[in-house]
Amino acid sequence: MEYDVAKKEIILNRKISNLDKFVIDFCGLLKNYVLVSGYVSILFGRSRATEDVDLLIPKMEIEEFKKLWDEIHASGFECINTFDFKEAFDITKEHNIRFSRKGKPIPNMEFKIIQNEIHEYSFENKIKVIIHDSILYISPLEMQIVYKLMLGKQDNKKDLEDAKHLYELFKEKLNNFELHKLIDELDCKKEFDIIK
Amino acid sequence: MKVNKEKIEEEIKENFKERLRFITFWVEYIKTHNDENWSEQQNMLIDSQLD
Repeated sequence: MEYDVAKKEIILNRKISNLDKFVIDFCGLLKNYVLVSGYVSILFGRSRATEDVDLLIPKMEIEEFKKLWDEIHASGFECINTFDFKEAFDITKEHNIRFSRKGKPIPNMEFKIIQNEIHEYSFENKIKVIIHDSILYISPLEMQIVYKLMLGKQDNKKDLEDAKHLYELFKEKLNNFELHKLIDELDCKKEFDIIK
Repeated sequence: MKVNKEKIEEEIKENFKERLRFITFWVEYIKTHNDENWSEQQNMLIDSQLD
């Protein structure tokens, strides 16, 4: 893999897993999004699977949501929460909704509308990952690591392990100033000391 | 059954440290092998769970 920091671009020549195929197929239907959390670590080799993939998407009006809803369903996916798009739209105002391939609830895409500063930061600073002839957009690695450290505060060891995987893999290429700024802002120094 | 909680907690801590050591080892493997190589191994784990 090659990470061009200036271009915010990673070229990844990995073999495509069933999980990657699911993510690539679903994200191919979206114009604006960013992938966050566990799948980012898995994409870069973390030795684990996951049942859900977290996706952030900008707020949209109901007409735009309906168009996307129809495209998603026409492409072999379905919403796990409800069959009704209006209900799904209302759910997204406060909660997440999940999409999977029809009749196969695992894996599923956890679809979150951007709601806070961490989400906005991840979306605005996203990185392009080129995998063969597909493109995925992921959260910036510094934020990804620190977000996982933050989750690790609740003694969630899996999240600390995800953070360590990304940190070890990219530490020579990370923006250390930005990383430590985020560690300070999100109060994760103790967790960072565990994984570094 | 009398359980030695302290001993179990110590084992859990050591297990976590060992997992972190494995991550360091596995990342080094990723860095020193091409993407096809490491991803083929990882895919065996992922695809066996998601097929």
